[in-house]
Amino acid sequence: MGENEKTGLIQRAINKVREINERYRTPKIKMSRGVKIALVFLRLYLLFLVVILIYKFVTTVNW
Amino acid sequence: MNILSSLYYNYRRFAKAFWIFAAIAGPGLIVMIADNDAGGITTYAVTGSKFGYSFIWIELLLLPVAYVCQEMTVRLGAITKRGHAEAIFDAFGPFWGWFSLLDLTLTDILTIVTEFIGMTAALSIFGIPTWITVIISIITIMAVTVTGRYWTFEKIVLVFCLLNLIYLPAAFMVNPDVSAIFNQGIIPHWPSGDTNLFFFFIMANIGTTIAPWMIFYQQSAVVDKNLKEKDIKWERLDTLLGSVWTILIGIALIIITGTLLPGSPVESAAEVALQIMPINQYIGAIIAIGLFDAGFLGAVCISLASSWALGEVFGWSHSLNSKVGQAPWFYLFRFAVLCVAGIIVLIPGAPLILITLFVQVIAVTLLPAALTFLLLLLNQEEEVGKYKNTLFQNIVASVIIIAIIILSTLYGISALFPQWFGG
Repeated sequence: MGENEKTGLIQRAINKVREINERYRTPKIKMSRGVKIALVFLRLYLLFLVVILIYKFVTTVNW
Repeated sequence: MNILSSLYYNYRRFAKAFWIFAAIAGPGLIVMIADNDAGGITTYAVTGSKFGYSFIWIELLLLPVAYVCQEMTVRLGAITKRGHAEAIFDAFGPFWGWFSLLDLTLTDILTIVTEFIGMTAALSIFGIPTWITVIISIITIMAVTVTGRYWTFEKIVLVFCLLNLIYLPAAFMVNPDVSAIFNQGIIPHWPSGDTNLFFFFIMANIGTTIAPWMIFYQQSAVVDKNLKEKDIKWERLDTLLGSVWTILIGIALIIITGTLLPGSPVESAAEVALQIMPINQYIGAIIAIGLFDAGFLGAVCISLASSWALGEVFGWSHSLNSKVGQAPWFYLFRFAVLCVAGIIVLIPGAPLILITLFVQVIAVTLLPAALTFLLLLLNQEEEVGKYKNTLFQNIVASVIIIAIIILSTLYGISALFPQWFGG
């Protein structure tokens, strides 16, 4: 595969991701209080898991 | 004469209902049986050897858990005609969409690695080298799906599902103590001994009963099979039948190892098969064959779940009704996923135990989000109309989802920090 073809492939992939982001830019769900609370909870939950994983990494790796 | 005509009428009605069900059944049965994948078989087998029959009542409790979660995907798929990945992008936007899609893909690849570990370990008992198992499995898995007809794919996979029933006669062949099964297994009680270990195994069994890929798989399968609103009641029955089947197989394995290997320190289903061989070679062989079948079914369905999801979002043709030339990216991605997983298993010294642990942790990051999105979407009247969750369904689903989130999180953390749980 030539350099131009590679660049073309990556560019096409980036364009596709942009197109998907644009297509779904506005969430269609009705943002009721329940939905908002659930989404905030999920974000906090993810953050908690990331912190746990970082802690595991830090305590496992010998610096 | 009246009785005869009435009997004939009822027979015709039943026969008609049976054939309609036979035509619609598939997604629920397949997803539930494939849920008893190589990891699942290992969990059940090790559970039985560690705790005897005393886990049977917990398995029975998991039946409604599996049904309630999967039934929601049926309604959502049949009404919206969208897979779960596309539904998440559409309803919650790109952040949650990409998170779900990438997490699902990563989890699926790693889970397929564990399926290959199970398949290769099972066939190595019969002297088949690892590389042959991997190559033949990949070729067969691809062959099953490139028929260009969803119907053909489903019927072939259902034959493999039937093989899963092999554990049921084996449970009778070990001559279990029926009164002990009833007293220790069916009547709920907390076993004496290591409570932490018992709790860990409850979490492991829940983790194996409901996995993120199942939600994505069944919703996409319902869409690909083109099930409609009128088919929902039959698909619910299909899902219920699948839930009963998956729990029965789990119980059968617990009975087998609880009877033959009580208190034995086994760590995998392949090890169980090897230990049972000297006691009863037929049952040992059954466990090994069932383990291969479980890994195979798992690999078939899990690789499809992420291929469907990617196809939905990227807009590729992604139906099993399409031939390879019509949906090249869909089939290519699936083939690539299987090859990557197969190659990882073949790498000498690959950290397979670490991967198995990592699967549990990664699955924990996706499961709460996938289940919460499912519940939220089933409450959008403009999405699902009259199939919106009722108050009762919401209460039941919320309790189950909250319990799953808590227990699966603890399970994931216990995989990372076993010392926190006395491990």
